[in-house]
Amino acid sequence: VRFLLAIIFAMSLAGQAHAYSYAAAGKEVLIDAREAIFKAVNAGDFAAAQDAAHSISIEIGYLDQKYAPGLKGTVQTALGSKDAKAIAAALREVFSAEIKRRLEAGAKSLNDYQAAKVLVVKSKRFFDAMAAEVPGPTREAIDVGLRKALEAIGNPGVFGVGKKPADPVAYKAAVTDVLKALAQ
Amino acid sequence: LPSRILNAAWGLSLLGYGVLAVWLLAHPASIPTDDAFFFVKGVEHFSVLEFRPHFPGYPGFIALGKLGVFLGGEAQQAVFFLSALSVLSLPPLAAWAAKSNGASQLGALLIFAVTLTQPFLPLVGLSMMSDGTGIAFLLAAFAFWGLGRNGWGGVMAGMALACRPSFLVPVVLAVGAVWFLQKDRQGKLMIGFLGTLGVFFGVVVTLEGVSYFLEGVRFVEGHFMTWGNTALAEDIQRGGWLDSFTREPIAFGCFVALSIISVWSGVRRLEYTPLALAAIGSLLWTLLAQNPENLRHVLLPAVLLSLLMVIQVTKKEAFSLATLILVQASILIPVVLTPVKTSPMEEVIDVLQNYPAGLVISNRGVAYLRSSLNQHRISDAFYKQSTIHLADEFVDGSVWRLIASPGSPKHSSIKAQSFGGRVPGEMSLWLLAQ
Repeated sequence: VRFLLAIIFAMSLAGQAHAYSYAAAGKEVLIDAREAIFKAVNAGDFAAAQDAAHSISIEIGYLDQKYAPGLKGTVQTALGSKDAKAIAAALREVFSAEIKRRLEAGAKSLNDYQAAKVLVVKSKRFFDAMAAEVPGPTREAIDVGLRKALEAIGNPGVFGVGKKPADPVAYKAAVTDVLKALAQ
Repeated sequence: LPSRILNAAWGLSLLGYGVLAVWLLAHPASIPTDDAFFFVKGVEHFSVLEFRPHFPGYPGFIALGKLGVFLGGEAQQAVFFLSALSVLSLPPLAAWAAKSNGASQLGALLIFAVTLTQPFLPLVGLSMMSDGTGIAFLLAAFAFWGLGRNGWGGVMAGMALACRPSFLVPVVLAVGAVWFLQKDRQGKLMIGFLGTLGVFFGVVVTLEGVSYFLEGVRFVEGHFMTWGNTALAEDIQRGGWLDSFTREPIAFGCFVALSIISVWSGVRRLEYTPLALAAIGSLLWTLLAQNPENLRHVLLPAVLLSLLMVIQVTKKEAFSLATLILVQASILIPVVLTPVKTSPMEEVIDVLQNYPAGLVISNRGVAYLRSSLNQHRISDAFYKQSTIHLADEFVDGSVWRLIASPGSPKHSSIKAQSFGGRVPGEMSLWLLAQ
């Protein structure tokens, strides 16, 4: 018994601690790249910032083509300017475009409740990762818009009980509100 | 023990119980953590993907919370009273479980008193979380099993998991042992247990769909791998159970002492296999897989180990338990004599509400701060580099860092305001202005 207790306590002392920051969105390349870029910028190493940005050049290229024309150029100009504020602003645009991508994909999935819900919730989690970048009232407006978007995708209910159909008009209005607030 | 002394001890215990009940229930329903905030949101509208509450959804606890709302409370009050009343149900439920498993009058008294004086009982009661509810159902399960009512025991064990899924290891060990040992009544046990789980988690899966399982993978992986020691770590003292010991030496020492004497005495009594397995299982699980920062996790092993001891208590063990009860009572008596107040997090919010727009950097209660402080930007300190950059953009005096620390933070030059924990084990918060 003593031996058992000794093992238990020895093992428990080696255990690691966890902090509960659930907002950690997991393996999100854009969020990881933002951290890497700011790490370089905070250290004044703009060459390293360029390298870090290179890791998401495919994502930025795609967003530039489909959702935010000119995004690629904005990011490149900002990195070239070696101005931390301009780089932060460009990254905000990248994040906004990614949120736009998810919400517009949600609009196309309104006939599939689960898929639409995942897309809206993911855009909310993504926004949470950049929420500190916008002023408090703007954050509130975006949160309200995202909640309205969630309500607009309807609800299949449990075995049909509490069923609510999707409302494409309300969804579009909510997404417009969110994107407008993000662009401020 | 002469019945006169036994009666007097019961009288004293019941008096203590009454005092603790009045003191706990007098507290305002104030949210202490993001986890509690997510429970309140979940009672308002259940959706695991949206962290209402987070994975695995705690459907039994949410259902009971919704019942509280149905009875006329607000979601926040419902969660608070559910958590406080669950904790208050533990001493009588533990005594019932002991009696129905063959404990003497003395054994019942000892378990009542040792549960009542658990140093982290008030912490769990004010946490607005599901630990107390889960333990209450597990004790009820042991009580029913002791009476030979395996079906009801199964239902209670299912409810314990539906309220507190992280009790998986001790609950499954206990159910498995009952199933293995009582071959004649296996059917009812499994119908009760799996039926209850099926109803609750069936509704969750129906509501959430496939994404529930994807979120599960992400969440479990995150719990073990990602949410490590987060940013701005030089100010944050984090660590394993050894740090918990230094934070609450006497209270945590009581738990260590209880573990040692009960494991010691429990090993001699392997006939109580379901309880012994659950108790040892919960001890190991808590020490190895739970966050040492949250001292509320030790309540389950403490209660189960005590129960294991009192069922066939020897004179020596009764004496050591009585000593433990006195030490524990000496920790709690000054606590219940202090005036009630709101949670440290709520106090921080009250203070920050008085300041004009600024930046609050925190890795505590980020979601709750965001929903309560509309004028401020709230930066999740998990994103360390972005946070550092952001702080550079603000002028001095409009950036605050919120950290949890048992002692005063290392940077004493910074203007710091502290918000002390209400009960043993509740982390104090520090607001550092810079």
